[in-house]
Amino acid sequence: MKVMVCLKQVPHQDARLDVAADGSWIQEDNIKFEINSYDTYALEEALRAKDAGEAEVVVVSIGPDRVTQALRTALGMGADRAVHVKDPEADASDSLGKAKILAAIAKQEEPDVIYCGLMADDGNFSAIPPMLAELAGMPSATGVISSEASDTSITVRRELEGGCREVVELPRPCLLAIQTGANQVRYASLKGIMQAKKKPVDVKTAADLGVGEQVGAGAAKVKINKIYIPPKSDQAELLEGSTDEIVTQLVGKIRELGVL
Amino acid sequence: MADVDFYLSDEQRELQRALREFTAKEIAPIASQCDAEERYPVELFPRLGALGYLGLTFPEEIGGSGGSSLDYAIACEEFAYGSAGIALGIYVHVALACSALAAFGSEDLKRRWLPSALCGESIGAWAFAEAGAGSDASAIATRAVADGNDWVLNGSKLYITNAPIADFLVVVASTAPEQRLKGLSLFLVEHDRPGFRVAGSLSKLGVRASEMAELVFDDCRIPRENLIGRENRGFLDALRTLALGRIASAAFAIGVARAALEATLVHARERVQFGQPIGSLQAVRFGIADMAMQLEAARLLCHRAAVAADRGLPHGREANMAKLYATEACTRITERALHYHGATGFMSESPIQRFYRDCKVFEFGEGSSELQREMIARELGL
Repeated sequence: MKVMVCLKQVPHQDARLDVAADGSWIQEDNIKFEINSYDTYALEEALRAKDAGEAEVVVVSIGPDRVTQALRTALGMGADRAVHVKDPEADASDSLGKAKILAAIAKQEEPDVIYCGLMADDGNFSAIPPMLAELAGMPSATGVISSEASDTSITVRRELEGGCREVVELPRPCLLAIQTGANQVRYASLKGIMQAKKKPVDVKTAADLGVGEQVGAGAAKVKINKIYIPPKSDQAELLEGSTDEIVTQLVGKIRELGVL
Repeated sequence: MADVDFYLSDEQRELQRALREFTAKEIAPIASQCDAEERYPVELFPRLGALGYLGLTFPEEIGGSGGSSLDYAIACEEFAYGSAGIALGIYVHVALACSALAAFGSEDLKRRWLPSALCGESIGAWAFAEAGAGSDASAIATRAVADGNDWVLNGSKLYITNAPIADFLVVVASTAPEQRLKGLSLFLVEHDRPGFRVAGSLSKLGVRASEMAELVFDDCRIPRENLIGRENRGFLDALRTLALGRIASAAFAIGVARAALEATLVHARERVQFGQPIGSLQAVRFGIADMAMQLEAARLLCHRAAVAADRGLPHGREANMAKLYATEACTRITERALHYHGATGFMSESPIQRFYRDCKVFEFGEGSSELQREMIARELGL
């Protein structure tokens, strides 16, 4: 069995985020990065599939040089090899462009299962997993909290609204978008860290994958106009006095607004 | 802040990242409770062992990873960032008990004890200090006398970290009292040997998660093969075991200081007085800038000593300076952290007061500040 895990490197959760001068994205120069939290659960789910039987785990990421670190982390945790799409045009793509790149890799690798995180901590689009499944011609399940593979299919539990769960069976090959908290993500062992250096990382461009024309800023249909931090509102009014006085004032305010 | 530790290898960055994650999830959350209860979380040992972290500095042929002094400094900082007390327990087990065994123990002793020790399934302690022997090892009064196929130990040890949780202890005892330092030897004593007992646990100001006790040897018989290394070579072997101790002490101090600084940065941004965060007030800003600078200077000294050790360069003075500067800087940094937190940090539930209590031991443990200054002065030719 071969499984593919899509990883995104995102700003570290403790990083202080400032909007870049041109308003197009955040300032990336002086901050630390880490693997998107959703993707760590996807990686763990893939590594469990490996532990349960024979599986080769291939991790894939799109991004600049710094992404090497995320791939090395994944290799240290137990992934077997990595594909790094290092191409400024790939970085400038919208979700569909990136899904096309990942689909091109899936076409080469022919994985039995693709594991993705449900969404990215930074962009919050949740777009790539279903797009990739469609482009790769695979059935998919999102919001997955556990998975169990048999010879030909995979049975997953999904998290629904209101605490409800759903059990879904998909034929392989298929794509699973994993929810956070689905499992307990392992720590890299010392042996794993030392072995990671010897594991192969293939560096590719969109053109190498045959999708150079279909990706990049020019091909992007979704463009970020600007990102900004909303101005703080100073419209809160603090009511003071005893509880009875506060309640009386509050009722008065609600009447003024005409909602009662 | 971006990573400017230019001298770290990719593997060292990964090691740092993995340990940081482990510490954040497994050590930091229990640190305050273990401190309050004066309880060592022994369940951490097998988990650390399974991940290979206990074998970091041991040769590959005995199940270690052949890690460097710098790897070790990185690990000590990360563990101490979560809890100085928990870090100390790991240190005593790994760097003192297991190191002495690995370096000087017979093949038979190593085979019997090291695999389970490096897996974290048995825990070691290092029994050196006595009521009358701290910095002055020549005053060690615990005696070991050969009798047939046994050694018979008599005496007592004081301030022994890990003693209440240890499965085995590496004991420094005198085999030739007239030869003072040159008459010391190392022995492995199993915790359940008749004639050996762990006397009452000792309560401490800081590093309270580590457990400490007194040991009593009362005609304690151990087999002859429990001698570690050669008879009467114990002091030299002990010195070699302790060689990494100054780098480790510096790294522990750096870990605690970093935890104190990070908490202070958060507090300075959030705490509003006089209509602005206190981090906007120059008096506080300047103080925190000094804390950060001292922390980084301490880390550079510590890592320089470690790199020198790894490259086989002389590093005695470097290690002395690193230990001296880092431990004293940590005391200053945690004092400022407590000061800027005010009453919030003074409360028992706050980790800030724990940092303030934890750092002091590093100033006098592993060679006091005075001893470090004396050795530096000697190195300078005075």
